[in-house]
Amino acid sequence: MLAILWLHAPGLAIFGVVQGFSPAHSVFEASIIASFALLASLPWRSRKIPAGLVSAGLLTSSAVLVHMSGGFIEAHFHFFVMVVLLSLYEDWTPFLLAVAYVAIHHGLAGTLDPESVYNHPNAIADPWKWAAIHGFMIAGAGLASIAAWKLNEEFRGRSRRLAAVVESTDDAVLTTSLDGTVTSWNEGAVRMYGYAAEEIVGQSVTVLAPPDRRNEIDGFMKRIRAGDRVQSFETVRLTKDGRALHVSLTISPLRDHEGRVTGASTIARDITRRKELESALRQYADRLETANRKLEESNQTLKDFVAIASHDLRGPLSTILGFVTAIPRTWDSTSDEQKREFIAAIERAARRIARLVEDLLTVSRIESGQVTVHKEAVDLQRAVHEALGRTADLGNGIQTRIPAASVHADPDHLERILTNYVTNALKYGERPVEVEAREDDGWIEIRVRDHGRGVPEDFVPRMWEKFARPDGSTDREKGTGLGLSIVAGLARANGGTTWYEPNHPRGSCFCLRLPRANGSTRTRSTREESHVR
Amino acid sequence: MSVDAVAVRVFAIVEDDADSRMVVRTLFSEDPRFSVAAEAESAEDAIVMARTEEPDLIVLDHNLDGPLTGLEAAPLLKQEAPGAKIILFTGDDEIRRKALEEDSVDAYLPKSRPDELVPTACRLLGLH
Repeated sequence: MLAILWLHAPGLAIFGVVQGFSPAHSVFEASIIASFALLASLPWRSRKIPAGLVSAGLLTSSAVLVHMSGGFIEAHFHFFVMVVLLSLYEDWTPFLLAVAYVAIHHGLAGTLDPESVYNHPNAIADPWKWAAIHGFMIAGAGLASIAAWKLNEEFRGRSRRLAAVVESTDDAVLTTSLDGTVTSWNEGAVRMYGYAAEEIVGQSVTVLAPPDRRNEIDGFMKRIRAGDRVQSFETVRLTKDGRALHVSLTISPLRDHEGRVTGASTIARDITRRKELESALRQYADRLETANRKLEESNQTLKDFVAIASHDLRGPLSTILGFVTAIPRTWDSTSDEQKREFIAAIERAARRIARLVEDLLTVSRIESGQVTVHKEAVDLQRAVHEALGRTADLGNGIQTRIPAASVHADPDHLERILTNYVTNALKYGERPVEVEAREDDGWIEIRVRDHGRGVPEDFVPRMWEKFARPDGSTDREKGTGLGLSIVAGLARANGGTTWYEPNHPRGSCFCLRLPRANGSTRTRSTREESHVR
Repeated sequence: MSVDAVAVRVFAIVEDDADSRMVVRTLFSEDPRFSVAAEAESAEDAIVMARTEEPDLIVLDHNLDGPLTGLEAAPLLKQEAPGAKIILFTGDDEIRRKALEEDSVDAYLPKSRPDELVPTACRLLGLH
């Protein structure tokens, strides 16, 4: 505004000379304007004083212009332009001053020297009326300008408040154009992502997305172009130093005054801490569930143990107790042969108890991970031969087809597994029983087949669980219910697996898979010898 | 039921376990008033035999070979041999309450008390 005022001084001097005034008069008029400009340039403490001086200077410029144009009515438009310019001050003072100035100046000058103010006969005849008209027109223009700057002020206040909110929030607030170029970037975004505004504005927003999530942004932009919002979308973004952040994104379309979508505003909230807490909670819940399940399992194991103890242990114990009660009372009347029968029955019962206790201890060791495994290369043919030797009393009818190979396993465990399989086949199945093995890509698969009834279909899924017995099995058929669970546990401890297949055309096929041994084979006896040494 | 000097016909059923059956047989062999007339491995066999053997006493286990348990078999045995006293002699102590509620069962005795088998039989049969 001050510059405009300064420009008026030489402008009016030139205009005066062009209009035929003397250079001295023209410079005098110009110097009045320059004086206002000079005074307004001084370092005033209040903004109102230079505003008032500029206002007075500009309106004086209008008066000088009208005066030097000989009251030319069109020159009066200069007043109106200056009044509108004064609205830029957004202050009442220069306006009030302008209204007063014009009214008084036009009234006084119109009375005293009407030709210097107007070239219009009506105005010359009635100078105060025309001064009032000018005053009203300027006041009207002023009011319109004031209304505009008040509205402007209100809008700017709102913008400032919004800007303050955007700048002070911890959330990242950014805007992008429709092609994904970042157009603004708040302090929260600086803190969250680590990029300064000048580093990222003008870049594509895809730099924030991990490579596997870049296509998300295309999807967002498609929705934004359609005028839709993306609400609380949880995803992952990268910081400048490469850290992954869990963020919740809310993306809204930005529209121009005609409602056209021109870009997108994104609010990103860092939910990494929440996600960590969620994950910790989930882990905690999982741990609790696992602990609960283990507790339930151990509770069930305890119940099973009590059931086993009540029947399987108490059965033979009662037999022993019964004989111990009966024998002293009938000792004299009992033949030696009968006595031997009694002792044999007591021994059978005691052995049953011993076997069950041994099995329970083995299961307990397997479950608590306390099985000691001494792995070595075990000659398969020899191991099968030894296992069959243990079951010799059950009779012949066992066919073997074993390649010359070695497995990497604990020989005692292998023997126990094979003995169990073969004993089961002889006890519950029908002959011929076949034991066969084959190599398979670093593994040895051993199968023990029989031609009996096979395992009932409904029992197959739980046959490897401890204490599992098929429904409706008679006591003669019932083992301890621990044999197969021990077999499976020992196979696992040796890095192998066990499974069941129905045999064709009938019967069972119990399978074992163990790692094949590489290199030289040490036989069982050499291991024992090495222990002795 | 009064019993004279004639030996009581004991009828023992002890599950599928031969050794347990031998225990019961031996326990009764000490008392000359008892003689073991028959043994059965399952309730089904026992019901058939009860009809022909007409026992005075049946010693019954709960866990038996075959679909019927001792407790289920007791009323059927009583039907076949109405004069027989039935002792449920079992290691399964969970059925004690049910056994006491079952009318056809005259006495329940756990297997851990073999010394009481003969005295219980005597009490039921009125032998002194």
